[in-house]
Amino acid sequence: MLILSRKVGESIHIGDNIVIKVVAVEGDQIKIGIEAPRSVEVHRSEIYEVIQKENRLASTEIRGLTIEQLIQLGNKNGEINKRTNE
Amino acid sequence: MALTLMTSLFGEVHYEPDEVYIFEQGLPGFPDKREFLFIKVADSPFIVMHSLADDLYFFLIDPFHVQADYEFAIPKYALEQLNIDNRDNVLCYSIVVLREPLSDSTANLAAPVILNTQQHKGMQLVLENTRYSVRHPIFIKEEASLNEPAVALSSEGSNAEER
Repeated sequence: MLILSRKVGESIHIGDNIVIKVVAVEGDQIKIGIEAPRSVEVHRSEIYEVIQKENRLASTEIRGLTIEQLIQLGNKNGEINKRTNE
Repeated sequence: MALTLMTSLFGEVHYEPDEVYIFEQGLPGFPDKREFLFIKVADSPFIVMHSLADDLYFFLIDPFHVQADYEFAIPKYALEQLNIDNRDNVLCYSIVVLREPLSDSTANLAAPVILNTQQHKGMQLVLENTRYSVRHPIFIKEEASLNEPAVALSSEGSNAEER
């Protein structure tokens, strides 16, 4: 990992059109400004990692699962949760 | 000309090239999977999103089935990535994690799969600051519905005999 030291107000260019700027430092909180093209997605790592993990889980086969079981699941094994969280 | 995909779930699946959806950025955790086929599982609420590259697949469900008032705004970057200019061409699914027992299965409402059905482009949208869960239960547990008689469930069907 490349590690750079920056002061408040200083920034880093990544390629031609991404700029990361240190906006403020307050105790252990650092405010970071990001300028990037709209096509570049920016997410907090912990959120993105949860989604990655959940996707890997979703793609994992349940041993011996058949389509017939899935159909039964939809019909029999409990009503589909239609409630709203209010 | 119909093409054939070999799947462990359905055996041979025949499809036309224009049925394929392109995910230019892949999915979180699967950045190199770009081509998917959407296969409805007959007589069930599930849809299978199957990779064309290998035997990788995801079960999907209509999020409005499990959260009737589900809503979110599609951010501009996603509208641009998918070339969405008309909401009639947008479809939305949630990725399901099947768990054991199957009745514990959950749907990811925090990162919906969005499709442009006209241009056959797709992406998984990671919602920021969302109130929706990554692990929203799909099925109402029987004990829960007994403990909460005030919750209005449709009275037709399987749990009518419990009343």
